[in-house]
Amino acid sequence: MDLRRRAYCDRILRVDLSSGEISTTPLPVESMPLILGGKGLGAWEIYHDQSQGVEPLSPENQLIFHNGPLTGTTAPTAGRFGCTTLSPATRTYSDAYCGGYWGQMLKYAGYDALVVKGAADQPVMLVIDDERFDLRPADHLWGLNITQTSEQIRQEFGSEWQSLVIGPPGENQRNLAGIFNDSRALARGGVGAVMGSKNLKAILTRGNGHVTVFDPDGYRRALQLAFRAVRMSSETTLLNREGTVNILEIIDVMGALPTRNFQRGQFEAADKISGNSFREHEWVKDYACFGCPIACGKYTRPLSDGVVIEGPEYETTFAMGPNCAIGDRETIIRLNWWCDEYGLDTISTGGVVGLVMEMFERGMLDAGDLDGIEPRFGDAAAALALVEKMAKVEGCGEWLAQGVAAIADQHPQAQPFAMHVKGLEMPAYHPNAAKGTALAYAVSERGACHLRGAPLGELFSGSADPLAIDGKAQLFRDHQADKAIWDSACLCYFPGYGMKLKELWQLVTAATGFDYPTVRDFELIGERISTLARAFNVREGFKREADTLPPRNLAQPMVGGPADGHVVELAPMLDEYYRLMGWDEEGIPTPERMQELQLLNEDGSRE
Amino acid sequence: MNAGLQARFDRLFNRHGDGRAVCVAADHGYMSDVTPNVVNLRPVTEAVIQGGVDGILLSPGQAMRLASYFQGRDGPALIVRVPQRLLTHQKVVTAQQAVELGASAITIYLFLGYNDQIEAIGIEVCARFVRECHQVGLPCIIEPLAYGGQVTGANSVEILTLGARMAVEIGADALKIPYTGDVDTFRNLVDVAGVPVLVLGGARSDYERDALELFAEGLEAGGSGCLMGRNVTKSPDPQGMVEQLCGIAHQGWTVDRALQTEQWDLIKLKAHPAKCTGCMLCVVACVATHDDGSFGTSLSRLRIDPGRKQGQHRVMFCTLCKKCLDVCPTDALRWHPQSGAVELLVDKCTASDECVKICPTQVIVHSDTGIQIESGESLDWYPVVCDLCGGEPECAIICPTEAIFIDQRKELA
Repeated sequence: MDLRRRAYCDRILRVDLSSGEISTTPLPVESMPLILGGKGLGAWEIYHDQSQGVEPLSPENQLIFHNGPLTGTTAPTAGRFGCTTLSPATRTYSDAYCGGYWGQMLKYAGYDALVVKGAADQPVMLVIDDERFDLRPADHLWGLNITQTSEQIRQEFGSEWQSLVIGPPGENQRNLAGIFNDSRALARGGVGAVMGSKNLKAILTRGNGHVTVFDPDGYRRALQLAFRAVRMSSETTLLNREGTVNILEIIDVMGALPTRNFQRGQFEAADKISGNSFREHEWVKDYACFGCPIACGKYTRPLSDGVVIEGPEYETTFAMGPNCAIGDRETIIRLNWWCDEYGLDTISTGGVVGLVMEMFERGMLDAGDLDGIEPRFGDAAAALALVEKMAKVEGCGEWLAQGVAAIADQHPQAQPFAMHVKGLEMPAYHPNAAKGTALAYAVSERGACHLRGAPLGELFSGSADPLAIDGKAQLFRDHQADKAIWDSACLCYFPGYGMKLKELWQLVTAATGFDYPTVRDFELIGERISTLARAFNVREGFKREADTLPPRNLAQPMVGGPADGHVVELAPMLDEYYRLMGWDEEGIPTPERMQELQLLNEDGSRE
Repeated sequence: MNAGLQARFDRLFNRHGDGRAVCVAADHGYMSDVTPNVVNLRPVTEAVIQGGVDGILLSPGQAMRLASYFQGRDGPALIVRVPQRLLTHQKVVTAQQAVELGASAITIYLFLGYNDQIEAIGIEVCARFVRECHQVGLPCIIEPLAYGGQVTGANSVEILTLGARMAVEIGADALKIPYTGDVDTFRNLVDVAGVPVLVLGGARSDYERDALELFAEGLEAGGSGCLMGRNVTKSPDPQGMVEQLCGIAHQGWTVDRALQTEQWDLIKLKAHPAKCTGCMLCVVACVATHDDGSFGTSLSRLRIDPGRKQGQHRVMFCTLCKKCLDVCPTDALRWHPQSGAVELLVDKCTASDECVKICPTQVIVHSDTGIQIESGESLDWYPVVCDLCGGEPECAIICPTEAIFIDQRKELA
């Protein structure tokens, strides 16, 4: 089977920064129909190639960048790529995804994945130019922020190159550090810290190759159906008009907009920071990632001192806004700017600021701990000061940029309201007001995550009663399988509001020629990949006790709004979910299920 | 079927004697979004009637206000929507009331994909309602709505198909149902249903062709027409849209025929750079349309350049300026006799590089392979020029924002 006629490059680029050795290997050809690429390939690599108990910031940890079979074609959003590693924040399997313009470059350069391990003695950058690749010194870039680094690279190499870079938080191996392709980021789980631990400042890529699909006519037809489905969706129309933040007001109405470090589920100034108000007052131009017909990205008009961002996203707006009780757009834009400019994850950064504000108000921290800053909820100046410290990794920013879980480890009295799961800060849907989403936070393989199949339709579209727990395990199981396939084919979340799995199945079968007779056969890929990620975590020692939520969700009833009085009844949902997945009561996939999913051979040996 | 029922059914489905009906749904004021043209329905109603619409779906209140439009020999059929509350199934109109309003049919939702209890109540409500309709001779159109949390990407078609059959089993005279996305699964659904099926349009696409294509495919699969809402009512030209739909349904037009406006002999590309989001779909589509059909950006006949400011892109394409034709020392470049695009007569080419150097937008690039020409000589490369895809430029067709578009070209400059 020639994978190069089936939309793949059939090459993984492997870089060992310790030895300086760079080589390529073919894809695991027999396994590709089982794992597809993207998330599947990342999970496969890290599960099979990395031994148990590796320290996340040690040279042994692998940083795996991957694209998918559709990447680089004209499928909607086919520039997306991902990154899988062992997270320093959660010590779990962790995968992050990013739009922007780097993903298709790696594919055009001729690689389905890039695996980086080892660590360089000195700061280096990896240069990938089609068939040629080498490591070059990057001392002159070390210490520069994201924009400075990207600009410097553009000047040295030219604008036809795309780069992935880290800023000071990544260099200093902070848990909140992301990896950036200009304004777009692989943000979550501390991937920037892993890159920093390897002394790898930047990855530059230029590609002139091509992607060949298996059945061009079938693929063309599937593309027409996919584009039509995306166009004929009111959700994608809304995404174009009001960005991802278009949902803020409905989430607020549902009582699920986390406010003041998740003390409430509604925010009094929600209308000031809605998609409509950003559209009316701040945004001047649409931004699309590579291959995206939706264009949910927005450039802001310059502030008085020239600050411009591409954003803010809904998650950023929640984290910098309601979560810190900040209701003015300019402050949210400025906080977003610090994160993008220096390389921080906005969700986690806002999570830290919210936590610190609550701790300060409760007297658990004082100005002496915080370089003289006195953060209270709603204090824009304090929030800006804290985020600047984290961005520059100065003073208290050094330990704040390690994230909510690390702060709560140092201050155990904050544990009841340290809003994270397994060490990853919580995204923008209050678990007490969205029970299916609560289950997803508790179980997701990278910690609290809304993108691993959280059934958000319970909040947007009335697909289920958000406060009920009945049926939520099934709902989450189905969505999780679905999303794992999108991440493996490597398309963005948002075309999925118009396209369904059927349209994706049509694209993938035409592109790869792999034999999935029905959509259900295709869906099995998703469950396989989620289970593989779970198996990795189990090997690292994670089981049921880690699949939990903070006491604020489990024991502290919500105050106000439609979810007034609600806590998350997690245990029955967990039981049901494990049963549906074929895992035992400790959440460990059974050998029988692993065999059914073709993750173990009949005799129990590994594939 | 009793006589009254048959008469009303024919008023809807047999105005043209072909069993097909082009209907417009204007009941969204109740259901989803209150857009200005739903609040003031009169202009839209008049426009779609001018367009020859066969039926209009209205809420009972609007039906009362607009009753006069449905009177007279050529008036369209009135379809009344049963206002229903999701999940509790309460409905606030009776079949008798609908008949008094002059309705030729009535539609009710069948909610699917929820838990068994909700679904069971829904089935019972629909079944009772069908009986109520038939007692007064009113055709009942059931609309299965697969919206519940149990609906997944993998099972949505299955649930819809099953829902179609359930609706028929409890007595539906016709169905209103979303298109499944492709002809094969929809044909199966229509076969399983066994009663007339009207395809609904869903959210509005800015790309007019989408709704027409979807409708034509629905008919091809055996559907009996459409009940299209926002794609018509939000269209800049509702009358024209209905005319196109009617042409497809009743006169066997293809989508291309329906969309045919003016034919241009010669075309050129133009751009609104301010609309460009930088997505590069044009560039990749260009590459995929030429050479061996593989996808990439290298060897594209057009380019998106970053502008001076963030997000300000420059769309660089062949403007048909003729400079390359004029500068070519061997007349290897000419206007293509049919498309009017630049054409390379490669056997005359000497790879002089003059065309590449003079191109103001720098979109003429070197091929990545050499070529042997008639004279027996070999060229290391030849210039790759925009051929306007023979008259249907893929870059303009795929552009989601019309940042690059097709315009008429008066003459070969």
